[in-house]
Amino acid sequence: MTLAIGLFLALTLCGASALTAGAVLVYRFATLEPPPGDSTWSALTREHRPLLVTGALATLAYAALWLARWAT
Amino acid sequence: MRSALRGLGGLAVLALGWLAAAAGLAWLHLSTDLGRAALRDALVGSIESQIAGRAELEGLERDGATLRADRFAVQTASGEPVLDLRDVTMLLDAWRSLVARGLVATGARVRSGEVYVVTRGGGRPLIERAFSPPGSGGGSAEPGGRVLDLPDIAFESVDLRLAIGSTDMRLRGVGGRAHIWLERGSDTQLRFRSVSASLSAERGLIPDAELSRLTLTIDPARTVLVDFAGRAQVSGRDVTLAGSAPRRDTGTGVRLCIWTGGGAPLASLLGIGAEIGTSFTSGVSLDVRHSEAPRPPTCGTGSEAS
Repeated sequence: MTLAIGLFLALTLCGASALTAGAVLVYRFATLEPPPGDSTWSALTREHRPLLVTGALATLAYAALWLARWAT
Repeated sequence: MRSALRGLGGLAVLALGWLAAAAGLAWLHLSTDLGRAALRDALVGSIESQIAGRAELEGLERDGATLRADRFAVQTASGEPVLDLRDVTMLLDAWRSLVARGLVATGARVRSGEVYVVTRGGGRPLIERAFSPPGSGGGSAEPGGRVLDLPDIAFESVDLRLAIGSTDMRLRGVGGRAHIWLERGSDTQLRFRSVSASLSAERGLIPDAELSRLTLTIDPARTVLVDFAGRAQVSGRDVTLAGSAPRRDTGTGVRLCIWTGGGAPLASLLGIGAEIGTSFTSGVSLDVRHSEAPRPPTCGTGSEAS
């Protein structure tokens, strides 16, 4: 596998993960009913921490890959 | 139980969403420089995994399902050129390409280029070696699915150099339509439906051109489609050959026309012969006329093609 194919696949996989996680989080943010005294955001971070971490990491990796591509 | 089912359903939706996002992003990324480089590397890798030669693809562009390359070239493993095509366009059949894990196009066009049918020290032409399966003598591997299928490729003006044994001549402006395909583990196969060309010599005269053998297929494992095995003595600056080979299911045979060019008469034409393959065993006709070569005439009427 060449560098271009590897970068292309990595970008696609990271981008798809970031997009999917983002879409789920937005959906949950809009539909979540937090318990009294709790904010929607804190309820979201509590219930979907793995998804938040995954989405954030995927977004960072996607940005880093594009930066690496432009830098080279 | 119900919560488990809900969890599974959620995972399935998540997986489908991820796949849709990946497909959409891959399509978007293909329009970038990185995507074009990855596509070029994937195409070259796919072709090189099926042939013994080396492939080069330059200036690849994608517009929807249409791929266009400034140049597509194939060399032997030792670096001798056998094919150098320019301005190549093809309309990709994305679904069939994905299923076949290869390159399947519904249409293709080659604007110009050169094809070298050259032998070195006897044996098979280099182009035949380059398009044989990697690591084999050619044509012996078990056939598989088609990894390359161009059912209708139009050549506009390709030059062909024939250097086999003591024969060294050029067919200029070869045009026509053909079907090219490559089955996994087999040789590349080329079938012409129609072809026209101008035969010319470097010094403007062909005193005793001996066309000992001209094969219009790269298909050593099977019977050749058209195989000229005769001897042609012609004079005049240009001679235009035009022919048409209808689809094999019609069974109507092959028509071959030869035109001399520049007003110079065809001095002699001796013993030119055509051996037609098993698919085209009837209806062969040979026609000799004057025309303004090297523009390709229409075979049926002798008038210039538009």
